[in-house]
Amino acid sequence: MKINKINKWFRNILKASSLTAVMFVFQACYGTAYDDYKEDVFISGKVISKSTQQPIQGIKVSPKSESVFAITDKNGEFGFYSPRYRVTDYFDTLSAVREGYPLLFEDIDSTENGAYADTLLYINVQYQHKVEVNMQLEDAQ
Amino acid sequence: MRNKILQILFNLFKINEIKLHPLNYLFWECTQRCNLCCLHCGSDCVSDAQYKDMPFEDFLNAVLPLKNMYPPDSITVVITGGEPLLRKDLPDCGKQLRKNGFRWGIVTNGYLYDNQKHTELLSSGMGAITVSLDGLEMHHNWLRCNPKSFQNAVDAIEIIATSQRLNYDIVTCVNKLNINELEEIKQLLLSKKVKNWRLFTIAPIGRAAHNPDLHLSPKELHFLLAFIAKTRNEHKINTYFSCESYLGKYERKVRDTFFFCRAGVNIASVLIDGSISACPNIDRTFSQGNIYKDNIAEIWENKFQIMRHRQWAKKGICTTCKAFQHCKGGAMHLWDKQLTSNQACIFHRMNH
Repeated sequence: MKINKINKWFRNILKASSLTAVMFVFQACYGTAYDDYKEDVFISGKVISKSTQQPIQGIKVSPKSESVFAITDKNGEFGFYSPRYRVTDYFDTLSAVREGYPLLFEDIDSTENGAYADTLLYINVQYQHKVEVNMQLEDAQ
Repeated sequence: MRNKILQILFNLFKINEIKLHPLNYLFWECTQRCNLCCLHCGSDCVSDAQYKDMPFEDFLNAVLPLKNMYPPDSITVVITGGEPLLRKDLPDCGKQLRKNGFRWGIVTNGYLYDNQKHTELLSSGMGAITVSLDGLEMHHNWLRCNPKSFQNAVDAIEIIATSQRLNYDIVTCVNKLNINELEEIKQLLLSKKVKNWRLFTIAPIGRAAHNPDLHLSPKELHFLLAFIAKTRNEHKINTYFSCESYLGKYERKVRDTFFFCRAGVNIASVLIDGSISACPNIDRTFSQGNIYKDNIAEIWENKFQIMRHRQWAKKGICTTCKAFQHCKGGAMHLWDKQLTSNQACIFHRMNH
């Protein structure tokens, strides 16, 4: 047991050192590289209708400009992984500024599951691995 | 002199790593179905596979005990096949793995990889991917036995290379036909803004065992390793040789660290029939257990001795080899099931 502690201590020292950390990076002959990315977040939640309070299926939920998204299921639930980032958007005049992670809710199935207005929400995802967002969508005009 | 000291230090590191054997790389052979029929396939996969795809729940339930031994985010699950993109539930499998804390990636021939798949897999938390490109159009298609495979692979690479999120690389199996077009392949990858390029030779296993023409001569092996060393010095694309063999004077010139076969030390696998092994290309008679009757955490902790302690490997071509202290018999997948000898040691081939 004592030897094992020394072995672990030796390993941690090597791993922490910039000179020897490279020894821990490997890839099996026929495998991928490691995934050691730390900057992503799981965004999940539920979308319901503001007027009926019922879950809405078929809403596309995505960050405005990234190639990740999810479509709500029959329970109105969604979930996807995304890199964490923060934008500052200016609307019309400099006085209308929104900051944060831009989460866009789009009704992409026309009137099949009702018709709802697209909504853009800015949320805070900094330093978080999981964020839950429950959204109520207005009926389309 | 400096390299000799570093090699000794690295050997100490290996002893320590073997003693602790932290598992941080887990293959899942999720299917044996494949949409190509490559001449060099190490798995001998076919479109009409002998085994049904493994139900994801079976795999997940089997690997959950590993969370009690290691932080799950220190384990990358590498989903392989066959061709994993043939599984329609692949994004769901990946998402469940991430929800349980594991990281994951796939090894693919790229044939079915398009923008939609890319988005689905990224949204499901995929973090790593490897795509094969085995030459320019004529030779890639010849090796992959499909006239569209080159274009589809290049299209996939183009999509993947745009992602800031993915840790990816492109792999090329070097053989007698594509060895003279390595420079052109490099230029192609550079034009697609690829950052990582891994090259390896074709091991005489699976279907490739019956194609001796795919294997490089000693002169060609020297040429390949010199090409990699030269390309690394250019610093335009991160190029490296795979971990398939000890390489003598080329050690650390063609990859960042010295040779270390980590099969059974850091690498395990769950194969299509539930067998627990190390890399999937290792002869299946070396399986250490089966998820349908054993606890993978206990198997990992108590078995795998044949891969961790390699004194037995001093036989066959390794008997009198001066490099044995560094390589301990080389890559485990190059040993036949009778353990008679390493079947394709590159160091041996280059020197004989």
